[in-house]
Amino acid sequence: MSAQVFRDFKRNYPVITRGKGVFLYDREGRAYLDAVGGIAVVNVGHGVPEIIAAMTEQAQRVAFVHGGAFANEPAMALTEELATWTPAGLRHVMLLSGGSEATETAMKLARQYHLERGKAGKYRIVSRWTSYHGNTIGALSMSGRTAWRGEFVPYLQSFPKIHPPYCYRCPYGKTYPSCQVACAEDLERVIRLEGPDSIAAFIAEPVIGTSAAGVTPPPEYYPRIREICDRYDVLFIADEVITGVGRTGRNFGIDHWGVIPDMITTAKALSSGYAPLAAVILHDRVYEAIARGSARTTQGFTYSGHPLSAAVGLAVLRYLRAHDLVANAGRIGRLLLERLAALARYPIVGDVRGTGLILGVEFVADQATKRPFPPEAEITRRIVEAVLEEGVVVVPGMSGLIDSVAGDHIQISPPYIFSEANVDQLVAALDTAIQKVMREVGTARAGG
Amino acid sequence: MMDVHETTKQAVIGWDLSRVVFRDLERDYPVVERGEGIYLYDTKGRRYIDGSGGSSVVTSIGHGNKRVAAVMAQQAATIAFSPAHCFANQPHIQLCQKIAEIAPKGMGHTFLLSGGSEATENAVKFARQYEFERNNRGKYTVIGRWQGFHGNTFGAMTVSGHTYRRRIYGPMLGHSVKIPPCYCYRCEWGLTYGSCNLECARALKKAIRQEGPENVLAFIAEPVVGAALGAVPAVPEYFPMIREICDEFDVLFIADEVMTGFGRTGANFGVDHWNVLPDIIATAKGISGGYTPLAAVLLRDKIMDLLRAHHSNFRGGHTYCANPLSARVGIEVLDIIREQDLIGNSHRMGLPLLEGLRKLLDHPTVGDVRGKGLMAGVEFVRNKQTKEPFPPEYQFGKRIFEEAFARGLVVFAGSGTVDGVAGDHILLAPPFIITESQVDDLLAILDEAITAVERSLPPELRG
Ligand SMILES: Cc1ncc(COP(=O)(O)O)c(C=O)c1O
Ligand SMILES: Cc1ncc(COP(=O)(O)O)c(C=O)c1O
Repeated sequence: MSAQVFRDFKRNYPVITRGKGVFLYDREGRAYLDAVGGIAVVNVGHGVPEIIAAMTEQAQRVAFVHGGAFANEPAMALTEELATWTPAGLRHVMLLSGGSEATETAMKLARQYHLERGKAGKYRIVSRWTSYHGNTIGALSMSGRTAWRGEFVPYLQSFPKIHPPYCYRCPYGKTYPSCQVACAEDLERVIRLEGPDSIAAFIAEPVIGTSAAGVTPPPEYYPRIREICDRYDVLFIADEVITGVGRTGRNFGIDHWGVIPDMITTAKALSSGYAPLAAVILHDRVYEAIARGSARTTQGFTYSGHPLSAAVGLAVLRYLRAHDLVANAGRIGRLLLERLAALARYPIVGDVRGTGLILGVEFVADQATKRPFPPEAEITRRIVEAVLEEGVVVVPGMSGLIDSVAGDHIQISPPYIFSEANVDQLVAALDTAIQKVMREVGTARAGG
Repeated sequence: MMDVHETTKQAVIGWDLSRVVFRDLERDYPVVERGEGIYLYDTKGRRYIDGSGGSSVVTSIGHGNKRVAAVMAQQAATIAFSPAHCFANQPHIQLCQKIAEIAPKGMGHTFLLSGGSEATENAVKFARQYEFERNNRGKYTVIGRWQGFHGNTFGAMTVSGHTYRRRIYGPMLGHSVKIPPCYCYRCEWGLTYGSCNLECARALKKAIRQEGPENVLAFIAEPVVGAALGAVPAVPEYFPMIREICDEFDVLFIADEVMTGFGRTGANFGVDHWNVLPDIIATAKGISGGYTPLAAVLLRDKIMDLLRAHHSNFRGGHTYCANPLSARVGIEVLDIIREQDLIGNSHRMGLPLLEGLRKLLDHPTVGDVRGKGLMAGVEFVRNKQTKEPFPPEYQFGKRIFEEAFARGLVVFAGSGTVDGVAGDHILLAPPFIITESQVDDLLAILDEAITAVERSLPPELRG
C-alpha cells in the first residue's frame, strides 16, 4: 500500500470493494450503511443500473473530445436539462469536473462581468468564515477554513470575510429574531468599509457544508443579502456544490429562500459520484454582459463538457426526477432531523441542525454554557469511529468549528434513497456511539 | 453577426464565446457522435483524424476502446464512489502501484486527482508543506517560465506564463517570478545553440539569487512546452543544469507532465529524455486517455518520508481524489499502453511525423517544426528570414485549424508564441496507436490546409 498517499498518513483504512444502494462492503465482507453519500456526493445510491448503462453506452461512443473543436450531445442535453432545474433566469451552464474548478470559474466570471461593464476595479470576493469553497488557491482564498489555509496563506488573496449565520453560537451574542439578522447586515458594513468599487461578488453556501454541517440561516437572511448585493452592484454567488441538485429537498438550496443568485456553482450530486462533474450556472444578466462585450472567456479546463461525465449527469438528473427523489430527500430529511433532535437528551449533544439531507450534530462539554470539549479529547474522531464500529459511516465535521481550534461536530448527508429503516439504523448507531464516547471521556455527569 | 443572447436554446457556453458570435453554432459547430481508434465521427457521419489527442493532447490509447468501457461499467456496478475519509479502495491502491512501476526511480508515491490544474496546484502545496515541515517557512515563491502553461485555477495561473489566460486577472494573481523558456528558434538572448552557454538555464540561477534563495520554493516547467509554444523540447543540457541549480539553492524542481506524462513523448515521462529526477511530477491527460477525468501528483521518496516522519497530513485534495471509478480506468489504460507497447509506438511514429513535418518547411509560412515522440509543433511566420509573425488579429493559427478541420483533421491551434500576444503555432498529438500510413494521411491534410491558408492570404501579408 506504500505507493498510495492517503490524506491521513497514520490511519489504517479498511478497503471497500463493493457498494449497492445505501450500503458499502469491505474486503472482509462487512457491510456499512453509507450515511454520508461518499461525501455529500452519492444521491441515487451505489450500483444503479440506469446510470451504469448510460455511462457504458457513452464510453463506447466517445468518452472524450475537447470543447475547443466539437460540441457533444450529452453536454448539450445535460445543460438543457439542468436549465429546467434552476431558479428563474439561470439558464447558461458551463460544465466542469470539480467543485473547486466551479468556484474558481465563478470567481473569474465575476471579475470578467464587471470588467465588461467598465468596472475594472471590482475584483475582490467577500465570503464568510466557517465556509469552504474549494482547495485550489483562488477557491481557498474565499474559503473561511483556517486549518486548511495554514501554511498556504502567503499564496492567498486577502479577501474580506464576514461572520457565518450560526445562530447556535451567534457571533454577536444575539438571539434570533431580535438580532434582526445582524450577520446579514454585516455584509453591508464590510462592503462599505472595504469600498464597493473593489468588490465583485459575495459567495456563500446556502446551507453550510462540512465546515458547520447543516447550519441554516433564518428566512430573512438571503433576501437581505440579495438587497445588499444589488445596492452595491455586487454579484451573489450561491456555492451549491453540496446543496445543489436536491440535497436540501428543493432543487437548489437557495430555493428555500426564494432568492435568485447571479451564479450557482454545483457539483457532487450532479453526477452522484459516478464521474467527476461540476457546473457553473449563469444568470442571463451575467451571460449577456459578457456576450454583449468581448463575447469570449478564457474559462475552461481539459475536461470541461466531458461527454462521458455529461452522459452520467443526464442519467442522474433523469433518475432523480423519475423517482421523485428530491421530494424524498426533503421528507426523509425532516424525519431524520426530528429523530436526531431527540439525541439532545444526552448531555454532550449541543445542537442538531439541517435542511433536507445535509445535517449536523454538534457536541459540547456543557449543554447550558455550550462550552466545547478540549480539542485533545478528540470527540469528533471518537464519535465517527464508534459509529463506524456500529457499521454506519458519517463524516467528521471540520475540526475547530468554533474558533479553528475547539468545537466538535459530525456531518450526515445520506443518499436521497434513504428509507425510514435506514434512518432507524443510523440513529441507533449514533445513540450507541454517543453513550460509548460518554463513558470513554467520563461525561457521566449529565448536564456537564 | 448574430446576437448571442437570442440563442437561448443554446444553454452550453463553451470556453470561447466568440464561436457563438462569429459562427452559427447550431449549423457549423459539428456535434461529435462517436470515436474509434484515431478517428472521430460527427452526427452527419463525417470522419476526422484526431490529430491532437482529443484536441488537447489527451487521447493516448485512441477512442471507443471497448476494454475501457467494459471495466468502467464493471467498476461502476461494483463501487464508483466511496467515502475517502474512512475507507481505501482497491483500484486506487493498484493504480498508485502501477504508476510507481513506470515513474522515474525514486518517485514511488502518488496522490490522485481529476484535472491538470488540480495536479499543479497540489504539486505546489506538497512542495510548500514539505519545506514548511523542514522549517524553511520563508520559502514560497514559485519560479515559472513565460509561455509555460500550468492550468486555469488561480494558483496554476499565477505560476503560468500564459498571457492570454492571465491578463484580465492581474490583481487576483499571486506573486511569482518568470524566466524565459528554452526556445532556440527565438532565443531570448539572440544566441545560437552550441555557443549559447545555456543562458536560458542560467537565468534560473539569476532569478533565484535576485529573489533570495530563502524565499524560493520551487521551479516549475514543462519538459516539452505544450499549449503556449507548440511542442518545444528543451536542449539536452537544459534540465541537467536546471537540476544542478535547484540543488545548489535547495529549490524543488516540479516537472509539469500534464501533457508529456505516460508516453506522449516516446518515453514514460518527458524528463526521462534528460535523465533528470524531479522532486515532484504533476501529470494528467494520458493517464486516463480522456475516458474519465484523472490526474496525479508523483512525489520523490524524500518528500513522502519527511511528511510521514513529521505526521504531517497533506492539506490539499479534492472530492474526487480517491474515487475508484477513475482509478480503475487509469489501470486499464496503463495496462493497454504496456501490453501494446504504445510508448514504443509513440517513439516510433514520432519519427516519421517529425520528418514529414520538416518537409512542410518548404511552405513560405512554416517557420519552425519541432517535437518529441507524438507531440509535435509547427510555428508559422509571415517572413521566414526575419521570423516576423503574422498580426494577431489575422488569427493565422485559427485559420489553419479551420482549414484542417474542414478537411477532416483536428489540430490544436495556439497563439502568443512570440511574446504572449503575437505568434501562431499548432500542436499535433495523435493517439499512440496511430500507424505510419495514418501519419501520412495526417500530413497530407495538413499540407493542403496550409496551402489553402497561404492562398487566401491578403497581398499585404505575404512574406
Ligand atoms: C461548498 C463546497 N464548495 C466547493 C467544494 C470543492 O469541491 P472539490 O472538492 O470537488 O474541488 C466543496 C467540497 O467539498 C464544497 O463543499
Ligand atoms: C502542461 C499543462 N499543465 C496543466 C494543464 C491544465 O490541465 P487541466 O485543463 O486538466 O486543468 C494543462 C492543460 O492543457 C497543461 O497542458
